[in-house]
Amino acid sequence: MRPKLPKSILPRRRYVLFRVEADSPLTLPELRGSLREALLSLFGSAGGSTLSVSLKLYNPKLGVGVLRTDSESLPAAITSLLFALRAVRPGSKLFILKVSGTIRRALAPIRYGNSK
Amino acid sequence: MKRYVDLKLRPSSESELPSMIEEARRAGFSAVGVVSPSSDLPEFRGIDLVPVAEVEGLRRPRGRYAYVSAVPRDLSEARSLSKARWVDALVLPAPRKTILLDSPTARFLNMRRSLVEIRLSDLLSVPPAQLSESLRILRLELSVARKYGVPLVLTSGASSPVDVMQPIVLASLASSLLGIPWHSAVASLSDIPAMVLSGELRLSKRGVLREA
Repeated sequence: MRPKLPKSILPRRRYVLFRVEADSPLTLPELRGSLREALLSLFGSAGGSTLSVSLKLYNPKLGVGVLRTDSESLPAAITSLLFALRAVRPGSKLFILKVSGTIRRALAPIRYGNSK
Repeated sequence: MKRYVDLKLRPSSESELPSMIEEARRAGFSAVGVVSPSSDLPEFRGIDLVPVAEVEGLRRPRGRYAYVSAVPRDLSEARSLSKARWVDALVLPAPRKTILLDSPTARFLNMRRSLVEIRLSDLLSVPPAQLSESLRILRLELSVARKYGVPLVLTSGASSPVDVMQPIVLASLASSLLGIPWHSAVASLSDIPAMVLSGELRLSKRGVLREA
């Protein structure tokens, strides 16, 4: 049986809703590959193993995506995303639209057009 | 609600200024400092513009600026600048291979109530092969600044609209790459630059305000 850690000592899960503004649209495999490379080059294998960062959703048409991470890895996740974008599209811009504990609430700004 | 201030936008041309200001407003800054040869800046809705100066070497800028920062070229210049009363902040640029902030410099900065500034867009332009060396030097200098109680101010140092970033992105860069605690990174983008703009820093430099 898998041992369970109490919730209180686990870092909180965070979902980051972001938007990419680039001249040409960025594809999902491009972004996923570049994010992995950025994590490895910035934090290395050992540092990267302590981080929890994954690309949950990405819509190339809208340029909107959701990154799943935790409260401790949040700065590293945003930094890696920025470096990943700059590596594939040097003139691109990153906007963090919302950071939330659930994916449902993170997606609220694009579902309902506001952050509530 | 926090009021975020980016103390340094360095437009490469005058025509780029409106788009950079618009980007800064969209990013959530309520005030920005603009490095401009003239202290007369146009007015924009929803964001305050403040004239700031950035000098290289020991030249003192002419004119009235809300914030004057100096970029030293070597350690001896950094020491001279740390003693100068007209310097509000010492810029620690990247990339580089030599240290610009040692204990005596930090002690003088603390005595003069001056700040240390890091332009975060510098980190994005560092070639990947030089990034680890630049980060090692900056981390070392920040630990010296922390030891001597020299406050840190974070700026974007943007020279084009692409380099203007949201406060959360700037704080993430500082926290993950430079090891600055999250709350300190946020304070370096809000409370400390706000103190500069309110004139509190200059008053404390003149000895009018003393720490409690």
